[in-house]
Amino acid sequence: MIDRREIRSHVDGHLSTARGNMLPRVRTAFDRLTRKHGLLTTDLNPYFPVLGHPLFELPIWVAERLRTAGIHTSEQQLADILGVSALGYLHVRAQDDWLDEASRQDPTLLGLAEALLASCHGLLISTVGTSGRFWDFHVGVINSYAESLLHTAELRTTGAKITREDFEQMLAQSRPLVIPSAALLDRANCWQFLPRLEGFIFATTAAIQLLNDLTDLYRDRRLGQRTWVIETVGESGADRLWLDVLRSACGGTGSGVQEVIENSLQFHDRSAAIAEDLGLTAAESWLAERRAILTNLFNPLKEHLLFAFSQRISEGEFH
Amino acid sequence: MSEGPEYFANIQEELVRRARGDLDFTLRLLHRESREDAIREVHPKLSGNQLSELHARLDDVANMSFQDALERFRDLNFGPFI
Repeated sequence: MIDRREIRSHVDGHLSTARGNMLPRVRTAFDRLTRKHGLLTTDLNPYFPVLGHPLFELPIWVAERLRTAGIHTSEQQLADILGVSALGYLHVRAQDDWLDEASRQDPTLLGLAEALLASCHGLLISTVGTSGRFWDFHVGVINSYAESLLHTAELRTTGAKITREDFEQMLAQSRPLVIPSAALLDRANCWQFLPRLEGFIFATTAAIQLLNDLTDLYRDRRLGQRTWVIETVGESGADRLWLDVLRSACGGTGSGVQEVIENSLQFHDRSAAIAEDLGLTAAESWLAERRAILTNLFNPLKEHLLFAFSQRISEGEFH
Repeated sequence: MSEGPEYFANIQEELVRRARGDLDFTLRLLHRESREDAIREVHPKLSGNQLSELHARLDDVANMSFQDALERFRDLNFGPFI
């Protein structure tokens, strides 16, 4: 199986090609975006974060699954698909950053998103050609992504509580993650795997989005952005979360933080079950590592808490 | 003098001095259950009001520290792809 250095090399190769096609203003924005996401660097870690999306791993796992079914994916095809993963992901990030930024008058990120999408489509065509099945699916995915984007923006303006159902609808924004792997399935004529693969992506994303929302809890509260995690933890107990963590690390139960982590674990376990059903054996160690982190989450949180508390106290930071 | 702001500042300074380089003492200050004993080791004759005030301030520091802890966890584990 292709290793991480080779993966990075293929990703960087396609990013460099896309960059070479860009005109100066877009290229400058592209450099800013890749720098922000740690791409086009010699450091492997940003490409494979412990709890991030398996952006570059997933197509490799799918290719490996196809190989066990006797279907070979050439290195060139795999390289192109990794390029699709990188460019497609950056396309979504560029739009996301534009939405998050205070000044939406500046169209730079939208221009960059267009350029990235064009490069991404060019690579997809090299894999799936004019396959009606694939491109119909692609249209559906991008439309549900767009709808989810607007739904999320709408929810934020109403100030309504975010329910589990809202959270799951918002996750349609992660649907484009399936596109590179869907291209491999289309080319291999194994389209029957697709619904389960989408289920896998949904569940892995949900599991990690909950943790990400937990780490962003205070920032989101400051910005007035509501999440399902904020509802789960509750408004009144927000300044007592550190106590919940200390108690949970000592075996206590019943806190809002615990409920968030349990929800995350449920999604994770669902993703592991789907992976097993799909025969994604190459994902096993990744899933096991993730589960170990989720089940042991209170210990590192407690350690980080003690470290930060000790630092603040040593600096005489009583208020 | 024993209830004034200057006296209270002195108490805090002594706690800070003790906490520096003594992680076990800091840990006891963090945990609510062990905090009072830890404070009384340094200042055996604190009034109820002074103790409550110290509790509130240490709770605030702990709450801010938890925000730091979440950020650190995020930086170490999530990376850019989320």
